[in-house]
Amino acid sequence: MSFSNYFRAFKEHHLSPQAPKPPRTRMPLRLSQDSAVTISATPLVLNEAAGSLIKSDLPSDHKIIFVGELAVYGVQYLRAYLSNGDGAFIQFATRGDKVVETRLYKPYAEVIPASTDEWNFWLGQQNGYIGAPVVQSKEEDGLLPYQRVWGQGDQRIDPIITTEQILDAAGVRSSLRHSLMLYARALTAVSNQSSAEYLLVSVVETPSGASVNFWLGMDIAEADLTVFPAADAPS
Amino acid sequence: MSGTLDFFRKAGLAKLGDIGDNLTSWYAQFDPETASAAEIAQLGDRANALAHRIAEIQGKLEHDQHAVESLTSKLTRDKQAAQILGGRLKAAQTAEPIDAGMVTQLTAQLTPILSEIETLGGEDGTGNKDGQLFDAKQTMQADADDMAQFRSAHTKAINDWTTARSRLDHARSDMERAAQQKQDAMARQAQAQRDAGLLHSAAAGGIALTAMDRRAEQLRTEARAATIQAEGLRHAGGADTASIVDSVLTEAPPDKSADALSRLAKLTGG
Repeated sequence: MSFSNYFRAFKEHHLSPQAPKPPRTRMPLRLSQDSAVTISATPLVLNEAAGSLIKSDLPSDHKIIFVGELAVYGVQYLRAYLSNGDGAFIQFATRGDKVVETRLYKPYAEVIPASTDEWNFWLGQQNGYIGAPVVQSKEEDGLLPYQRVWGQGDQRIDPIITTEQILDAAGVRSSLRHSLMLYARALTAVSNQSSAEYLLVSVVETPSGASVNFWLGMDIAEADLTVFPAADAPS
Repeated sequence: MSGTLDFFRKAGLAKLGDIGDNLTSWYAQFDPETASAAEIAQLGDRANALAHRIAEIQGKLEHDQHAVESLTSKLTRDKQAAQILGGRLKAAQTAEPIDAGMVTQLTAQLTPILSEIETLGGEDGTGNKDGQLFDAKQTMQADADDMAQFRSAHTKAINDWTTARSRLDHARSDMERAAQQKQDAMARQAQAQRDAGLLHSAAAGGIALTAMDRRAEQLRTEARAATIQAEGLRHAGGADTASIVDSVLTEAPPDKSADALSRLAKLTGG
């Protein structure tokens, strides 16, 4: 088949009314693949004023380029990855049809360990950093302490291992393996509203490699999100 | 009744939804004092429909309340964020040298927040005159008014229904009691008739008895007369009949005590 014929066949396959539509993930607020969202700067500005390390310079307008699904302790997490966030995502924690929390996570740091010793530093069973009771922010941010959210006690616990199922806007599926732990610290109360900053740490394994990734997170309200659902977004 | 009817007129059929079809005219003709059983049942259905409508408005009211609270919170937070950004922008504008890049960035952040404040709170940003918050408050107030009116109508309908049903039950009870009384009266009448029949038969028997007695007496008299006649003829021979009778009738009765004594002596050997 010549390229011209190949292209015509491909075009016909994808643009004809009979072309199969890519699958979509059912998301709160219909924030599925290809939907657009505007994030109000208000929560970012207020959190920053309360001492958060998350800067308020996140672009406000995004498309959802892919959606991830994972489960931790029976809670279903749905992540809508933002086109202008370099790995930022809006995460909904759900139990059944009920959304129990909505957070915005923004990448904070990424480390690619180069040796077994470096991997042991992060994941070592006795003294691995991920799973320790307390972790700290980067030195340039003042080594701020974050307390472990998951798991009781002051001993290290193993990170949670789970697989995130990814479905992108074109309907292509893939998966990411996580060894993750959640940390948090309280922020200065603003207008009598206490808030927290989260630090999500995970060893992320992709088909082509692995890295240690840090995201800073904050709670946001649905009212802070203006969603423009894709035409085929499940309701 | 007129208050309820006024409500239905004011509320309009559109607000009443499914139950508003002919409720106004129907209700105008309803009188709990004279309602029939069918009308009372219909009123019960209407009261039930009103209750459902109240439940719907209750749900809407809760939604309205949540919307007002959410918009109020967002407006407050937007104002706080705008003040923070405004302070930074002012500092950037007055810095020496002016941080043009920061000014541009802060302006880009502040502008949509200000627009949001106007959208939520109207021109003055308070939400008291216009804007989404004002609209949400108006909607909530309208729904609260509807709720009050529907509650009033429902209370009235329930009261009317209760009154009418109570009156109907009372009337039915009266009717049953009257029917029982009539039945009892008829039974008593029938018993009285039966008793009267028995009494009549007894009186007739008495009359017959009297007649028999009279006949017997007559016969006895006739017998006595015949005896007298025979005795008189036997003793006087040819005497006047009347004088014979008189003599017999005036004749002293026989001394039965003597016979008794003689019998006693005979029996006792004395």
